[in-house]
Amino acid sequence: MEIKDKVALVTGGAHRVGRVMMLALAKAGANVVINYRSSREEAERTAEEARAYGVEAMTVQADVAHYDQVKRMAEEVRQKFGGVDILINSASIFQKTPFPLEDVELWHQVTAIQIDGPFYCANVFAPDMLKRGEGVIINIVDLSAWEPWPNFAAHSVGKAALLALTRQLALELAPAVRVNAIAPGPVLPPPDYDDAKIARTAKKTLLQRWGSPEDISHAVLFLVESNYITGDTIIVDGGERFAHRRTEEG
Amino acid sequence: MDIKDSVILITGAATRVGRHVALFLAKKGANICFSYYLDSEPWQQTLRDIEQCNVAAMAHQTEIRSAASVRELVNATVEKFGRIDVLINNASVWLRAPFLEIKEEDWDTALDVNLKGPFLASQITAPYMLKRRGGVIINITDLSAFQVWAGYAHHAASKAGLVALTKSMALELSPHIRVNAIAPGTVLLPENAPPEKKQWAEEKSVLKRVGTPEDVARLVEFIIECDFATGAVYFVDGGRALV
Repeated sequence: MEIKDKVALVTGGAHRVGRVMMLALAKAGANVVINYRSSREEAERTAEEARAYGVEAMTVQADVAHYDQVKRMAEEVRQKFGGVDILINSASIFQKTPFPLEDVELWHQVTAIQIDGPFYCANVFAPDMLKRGEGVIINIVDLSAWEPWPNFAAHSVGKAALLALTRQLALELAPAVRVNAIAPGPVLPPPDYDDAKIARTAKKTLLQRWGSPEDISHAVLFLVESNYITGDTIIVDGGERFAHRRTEEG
Repeated sequence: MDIKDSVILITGAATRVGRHVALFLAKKGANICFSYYLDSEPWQQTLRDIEQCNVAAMAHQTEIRSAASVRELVNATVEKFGRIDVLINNASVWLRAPFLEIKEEDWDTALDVNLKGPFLASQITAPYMLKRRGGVIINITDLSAFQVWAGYAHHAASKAGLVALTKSMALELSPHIRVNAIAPGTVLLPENAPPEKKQWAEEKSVLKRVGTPEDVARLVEFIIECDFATGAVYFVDGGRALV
């Protein structure tokens, strides 16, 4: 699919990697919708940055974990742009849920954002794509979809479910809509990482370094434009999932 | 890695998908060395077509199953271009036989061309890349590495082996060399394929069509340019792996 003049919605597109993906789509000529939950100022700033590329940009508040809010968001987007051609399910939280979990509400909070959110968004935006005969959905997962991370059960289950949802949607929305996932490795240190932790994380990849958010936006642009790829997961992790095997036998 | 002005060695590229990938990369400004197997292949035409892209090009007749022949190929490439930035292990055979009828020589051919060839080419090329502390290796496998197809036991074993080799090389050649694989679906039917073969391939893909060699070439381009990708297998199959 050509990106120019299409409409792209990025959930959680106000900051961090979501923002970089959104700006890459804007730079490639897409009109963009920046979804945010609480980061209104960042969203507005990001929209301004997008407009500098000569495209239209709108911000829309919605907590993707709530279907009524997602439906309202879809209505607002439809009124402005008539729907979206490209949906990037990027909104996520990085929340520990160690066993045994005292507050099980945490489990629901995490899985609602990781699983329900992408499902709700696909559910409200895919019908327009099907009607137009074209659309692209990209879900952002991570390596926890395949490997357990200590204390991140809800997160890991959420990303594994999102991977399953990716394949399921690819099957059911074909041939008009292509659905893929991207699994980034370490590409942008969280604000609470100190230098030592940043260095340790780099050592956990085969390439011995951090990637960049641009590596991920590059994968987004590639997937949007690659008309014969669906149901796949593009792993861009610097070999993080094999790095622990460097010094071990098996 | 930038493709423009890079040096790319691609095996088995006189014809079909390899030829398309070589030409695609040449149009992006890469200098190309490609290998071919038989004199009867239209390698001279491919060479001329690459040269018309205003890049340096060479072709080399290579027996991919022979270390000596592969060494000649790699040495000739380095002699002409001074280095190899990207190696694409594309040369492949496509043998079919029911399991009980696979002859020993056919088993050997499948494993030697599809698995030993990439091993040899990578092992002989990698030291040049390591010396320059940078390089990309791309192995062309296919869906048979992941799906069961009746009549392709030897082919599937070779392609599954190539996936394992990809991961092993990504591990051992890191951090300077990135190694990935591509698993295409049907992107180019044989020239003499009957119409029902095309229909069959379209039905197998959830996108209900066959792909193009350019779909593979664009994925090659992405892998070369994406500096944080290693140890991965990327599908370009119209969703065929889903069903």
